[in-house]
Amino acid sequence: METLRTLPQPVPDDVVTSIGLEEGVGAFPSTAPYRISTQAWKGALALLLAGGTLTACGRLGAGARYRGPFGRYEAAHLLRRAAARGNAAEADNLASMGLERAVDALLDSPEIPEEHDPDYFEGEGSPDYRNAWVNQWLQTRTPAAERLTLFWHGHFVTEAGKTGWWNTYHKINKLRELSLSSFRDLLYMIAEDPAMLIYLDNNDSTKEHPNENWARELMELFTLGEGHYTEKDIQEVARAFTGWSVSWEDDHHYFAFYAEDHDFGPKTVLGRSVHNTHNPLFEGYEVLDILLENPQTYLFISEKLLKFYFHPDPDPRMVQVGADVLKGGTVRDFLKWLFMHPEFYADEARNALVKSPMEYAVGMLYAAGKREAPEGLSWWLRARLDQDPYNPPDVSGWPSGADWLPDALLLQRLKFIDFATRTTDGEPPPTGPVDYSVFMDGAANPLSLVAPEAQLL
Amino acid sequence: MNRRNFIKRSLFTVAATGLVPSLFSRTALAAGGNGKILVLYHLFGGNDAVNTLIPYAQSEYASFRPDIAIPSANVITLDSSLGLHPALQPMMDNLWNNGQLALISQVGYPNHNRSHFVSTAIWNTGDPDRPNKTGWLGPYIDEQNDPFCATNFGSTLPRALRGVHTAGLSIESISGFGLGGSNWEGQLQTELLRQIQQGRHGTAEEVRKAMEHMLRSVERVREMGNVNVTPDLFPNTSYGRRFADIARMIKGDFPSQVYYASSGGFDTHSDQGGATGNQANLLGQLAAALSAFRQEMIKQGRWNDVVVMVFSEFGRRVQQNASGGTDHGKGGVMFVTGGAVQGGVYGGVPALAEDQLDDGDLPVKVDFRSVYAAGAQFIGANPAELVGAEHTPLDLF
Repeated sequence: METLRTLPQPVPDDVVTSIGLEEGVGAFPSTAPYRISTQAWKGALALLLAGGTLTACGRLGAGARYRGPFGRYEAAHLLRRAAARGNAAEADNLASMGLERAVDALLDSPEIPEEHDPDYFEGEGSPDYRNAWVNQWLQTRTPAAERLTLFWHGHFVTEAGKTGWWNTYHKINKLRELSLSSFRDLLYMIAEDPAMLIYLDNNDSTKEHPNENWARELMELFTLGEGHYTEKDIQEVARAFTGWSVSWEDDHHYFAFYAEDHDFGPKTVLGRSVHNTHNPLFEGYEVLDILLENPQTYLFISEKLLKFYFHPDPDPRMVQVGADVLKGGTVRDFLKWLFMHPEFYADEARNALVKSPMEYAVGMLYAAGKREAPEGLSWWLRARLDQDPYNPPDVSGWPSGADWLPDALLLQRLKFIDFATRTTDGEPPPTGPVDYSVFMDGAANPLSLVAPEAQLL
Repeated sequence: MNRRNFIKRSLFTVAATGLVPSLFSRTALAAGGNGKILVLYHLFGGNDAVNTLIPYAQSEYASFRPDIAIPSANVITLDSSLGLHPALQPMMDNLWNNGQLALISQVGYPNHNRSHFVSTAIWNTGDPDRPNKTGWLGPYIDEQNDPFCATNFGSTLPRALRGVHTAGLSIESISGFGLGGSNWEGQLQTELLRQIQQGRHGTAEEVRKAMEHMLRSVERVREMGNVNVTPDLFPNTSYGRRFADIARMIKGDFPSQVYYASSGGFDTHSDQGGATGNQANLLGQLAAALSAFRQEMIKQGRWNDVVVMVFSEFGRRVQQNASGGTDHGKGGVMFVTGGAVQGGVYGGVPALAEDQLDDGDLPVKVDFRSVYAAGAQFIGANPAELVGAEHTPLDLF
């Protein structure tokens, strides 16, 4: 397999065992191994209390820090959440680093794949766009960046079906580069992104006919969330972005500003004046700055990140602290805060999220020893598992939780086990102990993949 | 039935009846309705309306389409101004000549969108302004609160059948709905039945319940596998198999009042063909399957209880392009048929003169939601609730 710079070489197969399940015990013994010791947890809390740090910035605060045991059990949870991909050896290595170094290693700067021209994906035998992303996820030494990129792509949605495939591919590549950066960097990038300009029709927005699609989604889905702006604000933002469009040169779209299409009149956005007759292009940036100064933006993003990385129903106090971390820092700071947070290792947080099909597919393939997307995977993702990574269902992105599990999809997920675990010569997998420990809790052998836990992160 | 299949079946039976029998009775109750059935069939890609319902008598028809116009001699004439594509002969014989084929001409919606995906979303949500929401049948499905009340044939559930709380069922085919039959998959199935008997907490319990529900659905659909329709009636095409499966489910009293299916291939930017060729093949397969469906429904005594609506996300440009095809356009054509349908052309004769066109496209004269409204009314749903009161049902029955 590919070497991992930050994670260790896996130990040889014969050393890999299931995660401590005794012979003859069902996949779910009454006492699961490696369970967090309630005593240790209480002890850690007692320490915090004794230190007098249980204040607003105490147990849930920005300085809150998990001090319980950090063995394979906790590291497997961390790796599963951060990267949706891994094995016992990698979890052990993280455990041996200790919590902070493990988190730093996972949040290392993303490994950036070479960006290919469109014809690369059309060549005979070359992977299509979907498989290329799956391969990147399976092979990279920074898999956490791939899960985070999927988050940002599901947030700043574009659909290849409308933008053209390469434009969305290019956008995903840029999201990966900036995935751990500040939210400001991400928002500035996406506002100028050709795929986004095309997807939300801003390339068709002129002073005569301002198109409100981008303006609306910018506030409703990308920054503030519904209910924190008026219809009038949408109209004003749309006017500020008139002329933000794309040009076509050298077979690629580029961001271009057409002053002749721009509405030069004064605008008012969220009660603030936006008017720049010297450089009308900057009115768009001024709007972004207004949104970036608004605390609601960080509450909205913090909650969404917590729902993706922590719990389907995060505590509002966690959301608030996360928003503060995000506003004052980067996405890396946010994730480091979360991954070192005591609540992140609480029982209620473990197995609380439903894997999206991409996470399910990548995680299972990786655990089954596959380091390259098998033939047909692209079709499985698009047509059967219902997550074409290049075509989110709409501008609001993918569903989450049990919404991923209507009958037909769940059935396809179970059918996928056969597809993913077959050996390369088409034989069913060996039934002995295998290393699905990071993919799911409680795996004894490949048959365990039908257990509900296999669907969870 | 061999031993393996027997074991598999009995396991599913255990799963279905042993665990939560109460849900079956609820399903049976919800199956009530008015007994009418709506079949929606999506021709994905944008079916070219001009070569489907052909204004053959206008001189522009041939001049705009030098390579793909259908010669007047081959057009099936309906009257002095309009005719059908020759591949639709089975529909002519079985549906039109019995006064049961409504052709909705120049159908679409305002402020047209030429993206397949966006336009499909608009047809499926019934909302051109905000296509990112639940399906136009969503409120109906939510109200029924029963995933069996609407069934899609295909790999992914179309948005039309997605409600806020409930979504319709999606199956690729009756026989394909279930885990495979290999020894390994048999073992997986056995393990699944063992796993779901152990309760969990939190999200894991939600997943376990979803698995239980899925197993009941599998069992319910597999019962339909024992229902037979007239042998050799349906053509062995994807259209034929889809309509045969729908007919089996109707015969087996499956509790769905809505069926949805789609077929692709209509995005004929090149080599569209004329009287024969790509579009002709697709239309021919559709016509043959639809005719077989009518015959089967008559045999079942259900033809008057069924309405089939065939739509496409948009029509195509009136002028052909340089590749012997047509590009994305606006106004399209719908087929609506059923024993209760009043046949005829709705929406008027398309005028091909340049100044009559909408930027080179057929204009939109009939809003698709007025057609949907008629379908909603047919199955006893409230059209105003589903597509808005401003879209009064088209008088199709």
